Amino acid sequence: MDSFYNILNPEQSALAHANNFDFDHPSAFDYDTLFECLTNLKKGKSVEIPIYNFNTHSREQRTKTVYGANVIIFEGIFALHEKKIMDLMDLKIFVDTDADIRLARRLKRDIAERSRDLDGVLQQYMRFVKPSFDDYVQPTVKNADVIIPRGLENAVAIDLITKHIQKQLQDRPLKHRWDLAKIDCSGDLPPNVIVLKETNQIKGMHTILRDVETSRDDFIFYAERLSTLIIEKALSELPHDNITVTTPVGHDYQGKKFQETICGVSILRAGSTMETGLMRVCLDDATVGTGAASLMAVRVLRDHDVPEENIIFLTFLAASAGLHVLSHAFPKIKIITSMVDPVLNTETLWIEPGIGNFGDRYYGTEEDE
Amino acid sequence: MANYTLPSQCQLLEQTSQLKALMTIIRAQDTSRADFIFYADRIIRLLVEEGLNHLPVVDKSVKTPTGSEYQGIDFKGRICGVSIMRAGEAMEQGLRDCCRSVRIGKILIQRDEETHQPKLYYAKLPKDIESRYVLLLDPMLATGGSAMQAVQVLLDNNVREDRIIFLNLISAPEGIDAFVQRFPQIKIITGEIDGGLDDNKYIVPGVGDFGCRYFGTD
Repeated sequence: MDSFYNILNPEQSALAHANNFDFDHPSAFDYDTLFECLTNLKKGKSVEIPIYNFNTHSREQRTKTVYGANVIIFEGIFALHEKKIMDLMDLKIFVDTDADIRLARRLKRDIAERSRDLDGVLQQYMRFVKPSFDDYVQPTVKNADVIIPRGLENAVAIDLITKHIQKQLQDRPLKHRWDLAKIDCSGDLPPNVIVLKETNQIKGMHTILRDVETSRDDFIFYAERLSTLIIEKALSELPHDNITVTTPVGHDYQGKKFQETICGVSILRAGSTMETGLMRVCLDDATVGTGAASLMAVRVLRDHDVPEENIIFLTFLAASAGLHVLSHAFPKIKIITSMVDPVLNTETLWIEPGIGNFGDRYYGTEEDE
Repeated sequence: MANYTLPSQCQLLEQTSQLKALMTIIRAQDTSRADFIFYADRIIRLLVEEGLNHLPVVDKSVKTPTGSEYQGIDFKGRICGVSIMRAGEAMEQGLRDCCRSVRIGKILIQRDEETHQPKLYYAKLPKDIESRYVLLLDPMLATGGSAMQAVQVLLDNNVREDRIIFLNLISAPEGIDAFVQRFPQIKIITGEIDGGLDDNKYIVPGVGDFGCRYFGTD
């Protein structure tokens, strides 16, 4: 929540530098930006979180990119203050810590990390922080679902909360996976999805791969054949330059040449089944069901400064829902799949009719029945 | 060839920029042999995959590991490959990569230096070839002389004309026209259509001698 302090006007800024601005008042926060960020995160979109500089008391130009996730943890002294913010929360926790410990931590933090002196910190504490806690923070305890005394020491409470969250994730998988239900999955596929032309060979290979009776030997063979076609399709989506070459019979040929270098990244484990057929490509995962793993992988690439439009995502089989989720979050990536299945089972999160667990079938690690 | 109208029996691979880039590499005279083989093999794989699409299929429903039914297809009819030696042999591995343990026959035809006509030197074909679909392999379709001679050998062995699929990387319009006129029921799958033939009956711009570049005997 500290990222969402309001932008100060020059007058307020002068007060802040003199340790005379009340940062511990609920009005010091930008709830609109906060609401927007949290809402988008819940939808699985990426958001730009402001960076607040506590030395200059101002918002920096740069921002931090944060991506939606299954579990979003939001913390801050006024986390339980504003109703519209609280309405976004599934679990509200108040961590209660002894007042002496709070002051000791504050002294340590503000002097070491925020360039304040002892007098300044104490003055601010007596004048703003303590009254504000008594007036605004302490009362929000009534908004909490759970109160945790003794903070981090309270291993039992932390364990209970972890278990509760895990159970929620299992009980309501679809809802928690990027609020999938709210994304419109009907109608046409997103424009950034390319599906291979359904030829007899593609359909025939799918028939073999999807058949529960297919031996592992055959499964591997046809998975590799199919992956070659998917990769060839992906490569033809890359940008090319015109080039003229001379042939051995002395004639010019007006050809094309790759513009850039490429590299392949696979999502372990099922993704690496495609690498045998892959020369140099981008991101691959065997199947896209909910789109959750794919989203996370694209994020990792984005965190490594790969521009979104440079990412091509390859997959054998995708559920329509997952494709919508993925392109909803990253509209500029290209997605290549050999086939799209209509159904994503809301209980099991399996693609139907589907192909089973691709990685298990490829690597032969199915559980015995 | 901008003005050339492709006969319906001849199917051109989808002309993607990627295919064009592969063609550029194998056509350039300064391409190393390793690159020539690697990129030619990639084109051959696409040709084989496309050729296999012309085999007959039947509907087949399978049960998937999730317990659902998938309405798929199964391939009907058996196939074999026949390569026209020597360059056609370069395409055998691409066929094996798609069809494990596929039977492959060979036909050796060379141009008679006196008559300039193609002459059959050797043929070894699977015994039951008359019951199979045949993928005929030859990378270049120039005049079509040796390919037509090879087809004649197949027909003499009771292969049905409409069960032959001829795969090649680069064709000259003259070769396609001559071939289609003589064997109208055969499907030709080709990677690219070139401008034509020069005085030596080489395809231009072409790739030069495909067999020599692939097998390193130039």
